[in-house]
Amino acid sequence: MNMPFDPLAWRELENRAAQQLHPLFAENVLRAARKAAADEDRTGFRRSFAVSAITATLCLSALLFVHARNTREMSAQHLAAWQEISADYAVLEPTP
Amino acid sequence: MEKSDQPELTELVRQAQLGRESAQRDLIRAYQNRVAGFVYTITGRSDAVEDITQVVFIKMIRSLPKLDQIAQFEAWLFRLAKNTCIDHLRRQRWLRLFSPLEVEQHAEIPEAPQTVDSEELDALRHALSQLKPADRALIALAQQGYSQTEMAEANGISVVALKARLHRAREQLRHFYEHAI
Repeated sequence: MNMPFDPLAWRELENRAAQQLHPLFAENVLRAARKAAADEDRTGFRRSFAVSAITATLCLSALLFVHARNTREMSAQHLAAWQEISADYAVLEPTP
Repeated sequence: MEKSDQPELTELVRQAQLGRESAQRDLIRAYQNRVAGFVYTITGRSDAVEDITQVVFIKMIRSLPKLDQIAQFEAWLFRLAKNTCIDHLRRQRWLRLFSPLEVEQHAEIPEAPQTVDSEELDALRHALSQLKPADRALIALAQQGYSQTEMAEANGISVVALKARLHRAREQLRHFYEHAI
């Protein structure tokens, strides 16, 4: 016998390892593969949903920020205009 | 599956690539014993054989559509198996680092009617466990009858480098075997 390279011994090792497999091993693998794919799909959906939600939140925040800034600037401009008009009125108004 | 069944294998792989479950099932059945033996040779863990073999075949099913050269299927499958085993061993090493006091327990493969002396098999198992996982993988592939070109492809190295590594691994195995017997 050409140990440790005797093909019979290696076949024996292989047989022993093969005995560890469930009789429905192939079916179990296919089921597990299907489950893994479904889990991945679900995770993929959740991930895209999360990315969309974060993007929408960022856009909305940016929109609100720009809107608030514009409103503030316009209010300031209006206030300044009114102050000018008010000052002009005070000059033009006849004193009693 | 024998190498003479090449046309049949090619068709089976093609069908499996298209997602036909019956072809995938046949492919798994055709290779499960050899892959399990290969996994056992590399990991030396009988209690992990089924789990690791299952992971190998799940990876096979998921990556099969990306396999361009169907003729290279076997080399590709065994490379997948080798990488899965080495990842598993690496993970186990990390786990042992974080829980060094945990005693490693695993059931040995039950005895079955044997054609080979049990002492010799134990010596072979012991000698294999002394080798590096990559060297165990090389010897296992050689014992399965793969050509040096196929083994070089499966390991991503040149034929010259493979010959040198295989020679060294065989010498080491012989050495450890002689000390174990």
